Amino acid sequence: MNRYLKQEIKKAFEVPVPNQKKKTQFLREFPRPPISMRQFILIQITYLRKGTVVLSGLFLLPVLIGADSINLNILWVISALIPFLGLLAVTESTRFAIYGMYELEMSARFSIKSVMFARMSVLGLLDAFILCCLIPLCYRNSSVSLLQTGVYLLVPYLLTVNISLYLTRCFHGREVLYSCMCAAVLISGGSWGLHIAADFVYQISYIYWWIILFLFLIGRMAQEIYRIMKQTEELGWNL
Amino acid sequence: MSNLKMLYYYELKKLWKRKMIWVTLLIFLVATAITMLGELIGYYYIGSEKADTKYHMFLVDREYQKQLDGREIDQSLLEEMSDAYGRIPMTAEKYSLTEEYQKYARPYCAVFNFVRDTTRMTVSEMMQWIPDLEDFYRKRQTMLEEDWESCSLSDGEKEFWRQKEAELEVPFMYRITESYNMLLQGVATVGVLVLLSVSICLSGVFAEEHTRRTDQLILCSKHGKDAAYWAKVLAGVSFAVGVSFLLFTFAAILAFGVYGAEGFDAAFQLIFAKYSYPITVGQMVFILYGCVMVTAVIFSVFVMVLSELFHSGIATLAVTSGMIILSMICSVPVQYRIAAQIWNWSPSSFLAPWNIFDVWMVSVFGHYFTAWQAVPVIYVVISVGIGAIGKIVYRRFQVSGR
Amino acid sequence: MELVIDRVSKQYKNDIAVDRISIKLQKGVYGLLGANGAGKTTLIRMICGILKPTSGTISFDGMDVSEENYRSVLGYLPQDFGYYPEFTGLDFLLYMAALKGIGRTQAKQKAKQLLQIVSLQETAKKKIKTYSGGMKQRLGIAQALLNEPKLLILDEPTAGLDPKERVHFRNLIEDWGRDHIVLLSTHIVSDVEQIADQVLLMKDGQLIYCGKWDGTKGDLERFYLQQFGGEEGNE
Repeated sequence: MNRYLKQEIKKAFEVPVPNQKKKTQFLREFPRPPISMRQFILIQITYLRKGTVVLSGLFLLPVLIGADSINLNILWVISALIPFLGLLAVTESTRFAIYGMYELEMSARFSIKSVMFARMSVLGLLDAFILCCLIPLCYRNSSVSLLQTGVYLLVPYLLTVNISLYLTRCFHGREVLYSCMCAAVLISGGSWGLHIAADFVYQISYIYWWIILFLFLIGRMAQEIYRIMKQTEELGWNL
Repeated sequence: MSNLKMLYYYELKKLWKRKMIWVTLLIFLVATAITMLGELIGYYYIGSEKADTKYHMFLVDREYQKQLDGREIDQSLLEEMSDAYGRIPMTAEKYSLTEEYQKYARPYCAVFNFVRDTTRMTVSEMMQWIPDLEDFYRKRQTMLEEDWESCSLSDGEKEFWRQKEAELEVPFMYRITESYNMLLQGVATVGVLVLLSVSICLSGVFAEEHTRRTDQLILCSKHGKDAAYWAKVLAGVSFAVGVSFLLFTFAAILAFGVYGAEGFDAAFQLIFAKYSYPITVGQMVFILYGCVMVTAVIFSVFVMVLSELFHSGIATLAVTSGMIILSMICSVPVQYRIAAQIWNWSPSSFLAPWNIFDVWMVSVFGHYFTAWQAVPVIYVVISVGIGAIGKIVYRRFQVSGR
Repeated sequence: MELVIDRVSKQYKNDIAVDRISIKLQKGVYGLLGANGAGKTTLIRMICGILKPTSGTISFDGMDVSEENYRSVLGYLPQDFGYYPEFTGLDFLLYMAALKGIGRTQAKQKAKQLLQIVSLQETAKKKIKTYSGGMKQRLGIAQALLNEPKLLILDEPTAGLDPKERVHFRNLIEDWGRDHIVLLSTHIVSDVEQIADQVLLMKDGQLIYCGKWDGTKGDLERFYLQQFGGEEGNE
């Protein structure tokens, strides 16, 4: 508006003194549209720690470097390192439990269940993408079949996820993070150790046991996720 | 002194009260069992065909080894071996599948493999070789000289090893040494398990005092800045010694229990051909245990000092377990001798048979010391140094930012 | 018996947490009051030797704060302290006794005695992780008294105590303060009013008041609020 016109209007009319209470009341009358699921998930993505996403992305490094420059041992190397991918996903999704934010987040507007579900979905998709890239790469440079490659990578990953989810559900505090890390280190060491000292488990005759273990771990993981979701609905006891 | 004992007792109590430690030890005992017995489980494949179970093969081979036990690997035995293998048809694609191999050659398999390892001849070269004892030792010497050359040994080192080679009792006597061989091969895995358990269980020793906020109470106490520190370090070192004893002894019990304890005074060269030092396989066991124990000690001190530096058990665990995993996966090429020697002799890499019984040496005032002689002494000295640095860091810590 | 704090300062980059405080404390109970961020905990940590002053000295009967002998006469209860969850209450006291240089036999006797005083004798053999907040606080008080300290420093000691326990605690401190130096840092003005012989008021790292407080000077809480501008609508 023209500055001169503004000044003239001010002279002609008396401007009422602003009333803070009436202003607040007026603003409250405006309807606030709820945010959509898509917006909610996008917001949750921004709260994921950058470090977690970057570290997870590092697992794609072998793919980026180029499969040709990597030797035959890549399957066993990735198999030893993959537990840490699972560790990152679980500890990021269940940060509220590790840092004692249970009560605060449970009493907030958006249920902790939705928050956790959103985070797990995003991180799960990210990990699935990384694994989908790694499995063909490792298969190309190994002497075993695609099915074997898949289970040899997925079993240590799922085992770590299962144990970490269990620990997060049953215990609280920063000690849980340490315990999950120990579990990942144990599984990582075990994975490499089996390859060196007990490679008979990787013979084709044992593949059915691996598949059974894989399916069992998938089922257990679903069960653990369900139990954690249930736990976020209300406190079972004083934490 | 009695306060130090009390503090030491309570530090140990803090360790053994943690469930994580018991879970870790249990898992590692199972892993040790798999390591030592893994060779007997499953099937032996030739190509994609199942030839036999590994356990049955072991039993059959053992009977043949008993027949050879105590015999000198002399001209007559070499000729017997050559005759036996000579009966295998040259046209056979996989010689071990032939009836002739199973009937005639297999009883001499142990000697055949020993000669192959010692001379580095291929299977086809062995089949065509005319057995001659002098030629056998000439080929051995050639193999050793080539090895020393490829490892960039100095003239002094080569001369040392030549002297040691000359001290060996020849001709070699064949003895059953399967258990010692299993222990030697298994020490790499057992060593990793010991280091991992130290890393997992001791990463929080100092860090948890800061995360639990008990550091304020400890540091303002009379003995909080001196005795408390040494009590913790002693407790950690005791734990490391205990774990190394537990896992190594368990591995040895399994090895001797399953494969037998005979052959204690057999030449070490029967299971590790390219090493010229005149020791027996029995002495090897004590050397291995000593190395495992000392490595566990230095690693435990390192982990605990890192724990105090980082004030975080998680960061300490990440760094130390990362080092162990990295050393399993990576290596430094032999051409870069000094870097490779430091890498191979670092605690996370040292506990492998090819590093403990390394031809690389350390020279002190003209005297040469082997890896298993020099490294434990170096480790003890470095441990004391790291411990002292840790003490300085510990004493200087100030409680702030809370 | 005298604690001498001589021109002690603590600076973090551009922030002065404690600004040239000088004071001498003799036998008695001193109440240290101040707003959040006034520098009370920083001062207390320097007195306990777990934080080094940027400048100045602290000594007790001629012993510098960095000496082992100084720490042997010190008892400290931090505001927010940790424990070992797998230890029992008795284990914890015996461990602290070993840290304080008390012999095993004497430590056992002392621990039992103190557990009785703080009413934890029934739960002495239970793990600390099963204790309530108040029980942990009482255990903390007990460990501070293990070595019969000549200098007792308590940072928010009554946090988590119910009214009955608080009264019991006040009596304990009052008794102790007759023959020893007790420095009590708290936000609870009534605690200071009831038991402190002298009041130390800290603001922005400086001591703005140091002296006795009696009824003739009016309400301590009002005086405190006036100093920190807390009276209705002032801040």
